[in-house]
Amino acid sequence: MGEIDIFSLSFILSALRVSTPLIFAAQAGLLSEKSGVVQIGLEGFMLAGAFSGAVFAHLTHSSYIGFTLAFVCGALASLLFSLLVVRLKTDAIVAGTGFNFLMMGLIPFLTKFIFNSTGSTPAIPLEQRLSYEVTVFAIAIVVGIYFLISKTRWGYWIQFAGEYPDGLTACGVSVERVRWVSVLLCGGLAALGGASLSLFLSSAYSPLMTGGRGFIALSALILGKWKPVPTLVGCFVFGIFDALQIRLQGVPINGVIIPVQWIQILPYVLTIILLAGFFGRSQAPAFLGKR
Amino acid sequence: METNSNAEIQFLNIGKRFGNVWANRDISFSIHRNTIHAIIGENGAGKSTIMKILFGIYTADAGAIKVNSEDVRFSSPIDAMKFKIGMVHQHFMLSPAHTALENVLLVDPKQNAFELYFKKEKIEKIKATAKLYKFDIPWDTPVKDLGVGVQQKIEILKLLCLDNQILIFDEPTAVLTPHEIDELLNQLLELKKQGKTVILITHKLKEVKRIADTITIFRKGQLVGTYPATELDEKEMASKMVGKPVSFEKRSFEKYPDPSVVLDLENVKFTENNKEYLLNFKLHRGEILGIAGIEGHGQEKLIPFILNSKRFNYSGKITILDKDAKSLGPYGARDLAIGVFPEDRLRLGVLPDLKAFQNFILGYQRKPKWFSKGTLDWKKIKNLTQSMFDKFKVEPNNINLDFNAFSGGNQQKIVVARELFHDPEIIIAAHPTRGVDIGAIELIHEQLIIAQEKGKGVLLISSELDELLKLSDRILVIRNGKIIGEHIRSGFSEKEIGRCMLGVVL
Repeated sequence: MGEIDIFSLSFILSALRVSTPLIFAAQAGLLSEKSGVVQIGLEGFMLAGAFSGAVFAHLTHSSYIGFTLAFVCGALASLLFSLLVVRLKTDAIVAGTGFNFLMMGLIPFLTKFIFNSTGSTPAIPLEQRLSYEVTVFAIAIVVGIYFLISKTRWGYWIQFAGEYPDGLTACGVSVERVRWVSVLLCGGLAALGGASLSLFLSSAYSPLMTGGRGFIALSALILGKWKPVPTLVGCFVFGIFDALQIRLQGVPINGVIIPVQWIQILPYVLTIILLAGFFGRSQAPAFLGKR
Repeated sequence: METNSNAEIQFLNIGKRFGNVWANRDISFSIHRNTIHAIIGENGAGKSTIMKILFGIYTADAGAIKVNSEDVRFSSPIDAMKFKIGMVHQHFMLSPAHTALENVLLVDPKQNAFELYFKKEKIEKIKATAKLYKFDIPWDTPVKDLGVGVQQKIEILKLLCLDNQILIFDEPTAVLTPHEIDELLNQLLELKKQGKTVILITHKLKEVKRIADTITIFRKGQLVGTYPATELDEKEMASKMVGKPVSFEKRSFEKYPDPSVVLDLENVKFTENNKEYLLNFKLHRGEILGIAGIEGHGQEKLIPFILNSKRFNYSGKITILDKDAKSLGPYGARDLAIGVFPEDRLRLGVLPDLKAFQNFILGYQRKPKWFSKGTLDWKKIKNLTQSMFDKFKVEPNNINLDFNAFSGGNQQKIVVARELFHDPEIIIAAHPTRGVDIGAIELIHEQLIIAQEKGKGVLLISSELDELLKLSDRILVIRNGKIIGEHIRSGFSEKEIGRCMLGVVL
């Protein structure tokens, strides 16, 4: 019987690794939702980031440049989302869902166009893969966002944009502009989450590699009650279960081998259970999703 | 209207339309620098609309505005603020989830994104300003846990912290106690002394008479005229506002000699947010029992408490119409013959996005009388709503409009009509005339007196001492969650009750 020691260093590192994309994406969602914009498009931003990160890393032979450009691409993609939701006041759920589908369709089109492949990008050399500095960076982002949201004037603009936009307008600050910037950063950060999937957790983009992580990040955000540090904890919880799921694959428990698919659903089942148990909608920004 | 060269603000033929109703039509007048300019009119007369146009919340459909002889066209408050115009709104611009301090700190002339939010010197300046104006504000409490009166102070404080030249106050005293009103009016005079221009939208003629230099009167979206304050007395103002002579008679008083108790709170004690409440009083048939007190001292707990809507854990006993309230639960209590006018009608009394006739059954929607063959009988509901609309003279007389489309006074009339429709034995009216115009006030007061004369018990919670003195048989003063004084009608003294509200022991 295989040993699963969840206190071993290798398990902890593995949990940190798989948490990393979630941390970026959840903090990205936090910026957007705090400012009152429902962010269901995290999955799409992550796909965009995973893809653009892998492409630019391949083209420039530098994962760092790829990683940075993923942020730029995510931010650029967010302009479309903001145009629809912030400026034209489309329903954010509909726009976000549409945005996800757009990315799912656009990326295979581009891979065919650029690499003449059916979906994956060429793998970068193993030595160019990013390492745990990405995780450190992700955690630094959490600290930065905590500071931004709860200590700076800008952070309070974001909070008021989500809690009472009219009050913000009355103070001479444009709610729309605050939301544009929040969504822009959200797009970039979520794309970094995607890029950490394709450049840190693996070494290429493969079709639909985010596998719903955008939605899991959203769950972590809700579990974390829209606060940066508890959201980080939420990401770790999902990361631990994801790492556990990887470890359990093919390992017999009391002599029974559980089919891989049953183990793989673990993080998703957890999402449902935790959300059903702790769902605290009352903690959401009061004007989240209201137009 | 003459155009005057020293006018700070000039309105020239302003028009504003909502749908096919003119909220403002051909309005021209000027406001002079360093004066207190009162704008009076009934609710829906268009006085708030014109100020919202000046402040950039609405844009005018016709006409022009000049500030210091410069043509301006504000498309948002941000534009207006550049001209040093500030406004205290009737509906507070506060984030309920944030603390008082956080809300005040949001106001800042520079709005520098990258500075720290909690700057020591800024906080000290805010607290000094509050002290100067004698505003007692619990800084670290979320606004949603504060009473409306405190919220208003925060709102006024926000404006005072900005260095504005033109200050618009939209019904600023509606929720303050007499003592606080006194102080505020003095502060407005002080502002004038410092060279500011104060615009006061109100329908409290006493205040106008006391501090205003100039008065502009609106009626039904049109300008009646602009007068020096010395030219008009209160009666003339009221007549010009309403368009017909108005009488200010007091209630002809006759205590109903019925000793039976409809509502009894016996040593009711509970603690919430570390604040202790102790309530002890009886409401008799045929009396109007007034509850006076400074906003936020526990009167806002009375309705949720009596109706048990929040399931407070209390000791003592509440008896409603001979039933123990504890065993009833919220549904049970609502099924009793109690009519409630909640203090915040938009939040607690109605669903503002629904039609008027849909709102008419709200809270009573489970009553079998509305049903036919298991579904709601909308035809019957509409007919009965229409009859109550006619009886209460709701304007516009259209039950198919969204509740939101009615002015404050008419919204309140609809709520009152609904609550009285079921012929309640107990009426609990919380601030029934807040933000309501003279015509509606008269109607609501009349209804309360009729209920009293029919032998119902009326509990009147109000921060308007005038209203309490006019209507009540007894007035209880609530302070810090406790009933601290009882005043009988024959011995009413405004001063003494005011002192009692402030906790000043003689």
